[in-house]
Amino acid sequence: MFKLNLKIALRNLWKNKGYTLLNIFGLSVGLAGFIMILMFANHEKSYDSWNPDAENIYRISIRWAPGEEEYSSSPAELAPALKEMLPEIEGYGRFYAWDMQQRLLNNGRNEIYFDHIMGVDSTWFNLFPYQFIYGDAGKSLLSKDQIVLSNTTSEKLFGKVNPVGKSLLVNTSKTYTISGVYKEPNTPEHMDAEGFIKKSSSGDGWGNGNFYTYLKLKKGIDKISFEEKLNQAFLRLPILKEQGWLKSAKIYLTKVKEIYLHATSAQDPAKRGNAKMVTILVLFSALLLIIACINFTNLSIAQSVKRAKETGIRKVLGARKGSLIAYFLTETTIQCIFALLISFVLAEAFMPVLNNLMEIKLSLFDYSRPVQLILQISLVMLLVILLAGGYAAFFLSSYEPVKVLKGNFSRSTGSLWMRKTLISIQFVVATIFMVALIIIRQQVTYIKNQDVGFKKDHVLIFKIRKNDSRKNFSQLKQRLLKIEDVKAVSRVNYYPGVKAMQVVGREFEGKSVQNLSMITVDFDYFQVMGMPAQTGRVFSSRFATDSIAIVVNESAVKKYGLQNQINRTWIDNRTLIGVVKDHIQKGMETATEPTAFVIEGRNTNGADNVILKINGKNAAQTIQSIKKVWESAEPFPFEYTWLDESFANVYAQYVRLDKLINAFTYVTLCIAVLGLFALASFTVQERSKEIGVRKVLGAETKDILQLINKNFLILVIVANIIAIPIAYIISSSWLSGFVYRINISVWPFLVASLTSILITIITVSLQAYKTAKANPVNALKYE
Amino acid sequence: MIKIENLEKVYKTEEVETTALNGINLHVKEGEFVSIMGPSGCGKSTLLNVMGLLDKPERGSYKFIDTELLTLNDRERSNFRKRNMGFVFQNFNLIDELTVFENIELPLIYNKIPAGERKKLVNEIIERMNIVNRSGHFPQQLSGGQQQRVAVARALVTKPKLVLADEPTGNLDSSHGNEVMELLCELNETGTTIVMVTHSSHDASFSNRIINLKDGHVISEKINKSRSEELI
Repeated sequence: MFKLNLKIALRNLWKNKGYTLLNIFGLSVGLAGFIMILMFANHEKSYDSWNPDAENIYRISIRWAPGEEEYSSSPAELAPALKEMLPEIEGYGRFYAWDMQQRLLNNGRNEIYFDHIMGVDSTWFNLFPYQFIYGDAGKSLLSKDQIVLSNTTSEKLFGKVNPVGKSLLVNTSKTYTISGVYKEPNTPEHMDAEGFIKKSSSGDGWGNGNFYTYLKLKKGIDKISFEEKLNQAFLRLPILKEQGWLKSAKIYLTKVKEIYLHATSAQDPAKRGNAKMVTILVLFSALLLIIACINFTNLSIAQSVKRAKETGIRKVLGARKGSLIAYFLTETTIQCIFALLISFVLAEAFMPVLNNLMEIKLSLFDYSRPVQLILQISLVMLLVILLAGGYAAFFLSSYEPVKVLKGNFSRSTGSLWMRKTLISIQFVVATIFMVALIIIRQQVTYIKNQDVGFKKDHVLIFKIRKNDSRKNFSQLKQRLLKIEDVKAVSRVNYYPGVKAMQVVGREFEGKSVQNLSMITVDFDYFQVMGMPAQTGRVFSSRFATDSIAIVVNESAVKKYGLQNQINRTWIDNRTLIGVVKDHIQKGMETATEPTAFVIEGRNTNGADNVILKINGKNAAQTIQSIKKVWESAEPFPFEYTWLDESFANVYAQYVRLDKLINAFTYVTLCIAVLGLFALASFTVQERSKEIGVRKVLGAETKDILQLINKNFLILVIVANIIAIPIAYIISSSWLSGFVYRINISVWPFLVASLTSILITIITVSLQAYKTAKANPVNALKYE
Repeated sequence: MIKIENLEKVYKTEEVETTALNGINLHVKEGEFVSIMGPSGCGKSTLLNVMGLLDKPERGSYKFIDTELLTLNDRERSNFRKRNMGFVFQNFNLIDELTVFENIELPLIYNKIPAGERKKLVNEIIERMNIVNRSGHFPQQLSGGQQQRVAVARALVTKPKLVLADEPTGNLDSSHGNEVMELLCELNETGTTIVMVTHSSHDASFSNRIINLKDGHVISEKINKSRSEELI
């Protein structure tokens, strides 16, 4: 029976090549989109899952006082003290924030910058058990001159040989011996790592909170209850007797696998994804797939008139409903399998686009976890077959044979209602996509054009490597200023767009000054950045005392009540000389933080990013001149970046989202139009007799077009009425994630609705026109 | 009123070419009731369709009160049809979704008659056809005879000069069939020209003249004396 079903199904599909092609194509586009997003979502959720112990490894984060931000850094002393008290802690590993810096590695032949050599505890590999290709993990970080490299780093420097025992010159000064090479894991990690050295500090007591602490717990420990226990143990630590302020601290644990998508701490050096975006994308791709299934169903039902007789005969000959359903599902399955194969091709073909957009490297046929993907796809296919073929099978198999064979077959209101619902759902989704697209685009344009509070054009940045260059910066600055097109030169530690920030807490006249972002700069910083003083003045080298002065932004004035503090002493004994406008440092999601600017000195962080305002005209030549100056001061290769380019990172993910939604919208619209086209063709077919009668009675082509369009327009308008509030809720919820955001206007909804109406009219008219023009006699011939 | 000369109509499919009308000549006078008879496939329905401007012949001439109709374009044909002709079909061809009243009203809408006048005209014809109590019903709620009455009413509501009836009793039992034929006779007596295609010689006996077709030719013509005397 199956063989016969298969044979007839194949013949039928072949007979209706056009419909079959539309069916398969629509579905394969939906599937391809879904598979691609599925792979992306898998990738986003796969962070750190290579680690067999990942379930038991947690990162500590701390909120030092209620109401303050949660920080993922902690003092080095914390982990050993806690381990003493809590037997659940099997081990710990820490890395030191100040070890995270770009390093120049030189093996005598090659000299390459690496950004991600981490300074860690020797126990690190107990928590992160990388597979060592060369060397022994247990002995690889015993001394301060050992270095472990990833296989990629090793290959970049040495090629495919065992480098263990060889030496490496780091930053032109310190020599390390390579003690091991590990294989990079096949899933991404929350901390990029290209190699490891022993951390440079063992901790300077509880005052240095710049360590990142990871705990390995014994198996089967419940996170919530252990977190509570951890905080209780913390309160019993002897240090709390000396430093009472620690009492208000609360410790949190984040599962290492969840850091990437779900960590909540601020100032996080870890790579952080956007769980919301992953959810949105999965949701949207699922919608796309559902639309494709709906389309499939509609196209199948559209053919049903042709199939009615066949079904009637089968029933008369003794086929039962069950066997007919099996037969129609066989037909669906065949098409789904074809669609799946095409979708593989489409997905592989368009994967580079997604890779490029999301800055990932995924490939369908070279996927790190094929079994997971195959299982997921199989499950989805099963659902698709039931969803796409189920209704059609049920619909087709329930024709009453006598009626059908007598030629009395007319539309049943139930199925018509179902198809109308299906097409409406498609348009609901399409309208939501269109509205989302317009609003995301408006918001992206808005944040791109947002007044960021500084002038980001033609500002070049490079990093000082040698300590000497920083010490003798004024000389370097003078030489740079001699270059014709260099207008101003300064230094800064965290320029806008950099995720990191120094946040300080102080006390001033008995009042607490908490969560003040502190940026270390040099004279002329505000000139380079084009940030004039709103009140008072900015730093000037003409005033010697400015090196211990302080400039704040408007938010700081507001938060700490500094309106009357200008030209008076404020925190750290610094004189507040001026106020600058708020500028955007990290992104549009959060409001500008209260920020202070100080000149680099002994008690400040180092400002090792040189920033230059240049004349944009002869940029290439100017860069050459700057490079020459650099080469006379530094032994390192010259690398630079532009402020506007690096600042673009703060909204890069929204630009990506915009592009993705763009693609979704067009694909969805295409599929919806296919569906509409099919239903229109079906309707026209069904109503051909009526159209014929009307024509005989004098209806003109335009009357017929109006007649057919009217029904569809009602559907689309209803769909829009449903879609608009949904789209509004989704959009405003998305926009609520931004402090700087557009106001939702009526336009996106109007444009989306009119577009869907226009598309409907065109599609339906194309289909109806043929029939409206046809000779009515053909339709009126006796059935 | 109607002068048809040398009418030829050929149907082409991929493999076969069928000559449906082969040099037909036919004159119909105003107020006449003509039956066209013949075996299946003789071309009688095709002839009716051509006369109703629903189909275009390959060659020949079709004059309707001195207007040559075969040179008209689609739009002109459509306009001419809706002003001058009414149709009655074997299977009634009523629109299921519309009530009796709305079905009858439809040609008036397409003739752009104002709503007030439409209502008057429809009510007049409904009364005349004796279906007043059915005007709010849908076609499926009526018997075959009643449906055909509605169809006739719809054909007449625009007061056409010519009514074309294609086997008007084909789907009816004999008593309902007779009713419809009597209705057509009454119409004819009030001056409406009728051309009817039929299989039934009983039905044909209601007409003034019977034309027999075979293989696209007119093979005979017979005056129905009892009726034509009345006409004279």
